[in-house]
Amino acid sequence: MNKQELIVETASRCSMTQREAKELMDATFDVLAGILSKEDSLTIQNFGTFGVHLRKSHRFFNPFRSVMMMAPKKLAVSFHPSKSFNDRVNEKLKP
Amino acid sequence: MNEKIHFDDFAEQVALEVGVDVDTAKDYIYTMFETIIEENEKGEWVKIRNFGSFHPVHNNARQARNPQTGNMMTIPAHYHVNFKPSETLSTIVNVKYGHLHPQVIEEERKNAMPMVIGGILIMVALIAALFFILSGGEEKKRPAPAAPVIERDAADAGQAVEEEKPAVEALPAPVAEPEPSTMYGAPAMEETTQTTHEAIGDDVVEGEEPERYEEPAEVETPKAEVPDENMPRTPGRVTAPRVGEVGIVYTVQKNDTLTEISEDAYENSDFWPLIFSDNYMVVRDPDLIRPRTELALPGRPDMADQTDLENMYGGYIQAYKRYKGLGKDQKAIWLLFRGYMKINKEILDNPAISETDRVEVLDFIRRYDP
Repeated sequence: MNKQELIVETASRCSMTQREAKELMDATFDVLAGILSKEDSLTIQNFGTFGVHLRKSHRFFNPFRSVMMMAPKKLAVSFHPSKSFNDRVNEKLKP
Repeated sequence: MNEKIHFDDFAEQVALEVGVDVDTAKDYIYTMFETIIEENEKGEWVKIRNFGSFHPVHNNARQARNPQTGNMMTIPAHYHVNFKPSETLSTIVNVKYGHLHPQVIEEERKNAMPMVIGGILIMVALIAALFFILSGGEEKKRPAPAAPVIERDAADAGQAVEEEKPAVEALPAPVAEPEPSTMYGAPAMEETTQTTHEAIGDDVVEGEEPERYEEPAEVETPKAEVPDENMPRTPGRVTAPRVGEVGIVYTVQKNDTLTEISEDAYENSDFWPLIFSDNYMVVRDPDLIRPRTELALPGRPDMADQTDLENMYGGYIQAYKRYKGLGKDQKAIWLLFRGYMKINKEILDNPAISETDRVEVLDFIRRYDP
């Protein structure tokens, strides 16, 4: 499912126009990205937790140039699905 | 920083951004995430452009140890939901560390032979250096009682600096950090001198030509050598695009600054915000461009043309916003002052400029040029 399909689906469920649904969805992910860029975390009930982790700088081997290089530190976005989310997926997908 | 945002605050922010009431926003957010869960239950991916994708991943059964009892146990095969952030989200989150890039820490070694030859060469060089130091030391001892005071006087502080340089060169060389030191001109005398010192410091730490620094230690007039370090750039390296022509790409070299590139390309150092605005994604800080960065140079602007003038205003405003974003308030004010004096007085009319800054610039202009 891509974003457009998600917009159509949510618009029909909430009985609103696709334009309104798109605006709300864009705002949701924009605000979420803003929260993450401030290194804060957000928990959504029955869905999961969004947060960021600091990845330390580390050495790595570049096989194309055959040299050792130093990768700088960076922030990685993490998502932990809640227990109910994982359980629901497992119930349906497990044979 | 590391705060847990409450869901209600989050929904309120979303509602404010769209202009709906909070309950609608909450309903919508819950419905949306519910839809994502239901899609994942079918085993499908949910891809959201510019944010990331949610998808279930199958994990095989494996043996593991229970950390509490220490007994071996089998974890059954199961699914878990994975989230992969998109490139855009990673970039947004990493604004703080966006200027860092991977760096080579060891030289290339393709096979062993060059290493052996290199080792022999280093040994020979070391032995030669040893002989040189021994002989040099003896030579120095002889004239030392003759005229030690004169040597000190002639050498001045300059020589002391010269002698220290080879030691500094041993440090790992960072990337060159050229600064547009010329842009502040006469009114910024203090800043200009400061930046030239920094430029010298960069040269020293980089140490590409160590022989150049060792020689002047024996020359009697070291003062003449000092300005040499601030090597004049060979002008005219950039061929200027003509009026209306599609721009060219220029690769940044060592000791380049945006002002100097602008001077070479357009024969006017005050056009650098134009280059910056065309490359604002590549250049994070206008004072810090890195070698090997590829800059797209726009066509030569025609100051009589209204569109070109608008573009120039846009460049100045963009550079101003970037300076404000980086916390360089003083430089932002200098930039506006420069644009006001050299380009057009209409620059200050832009609504993006904060009122306090405008007042400060006008105040400065009144003092500098009544």
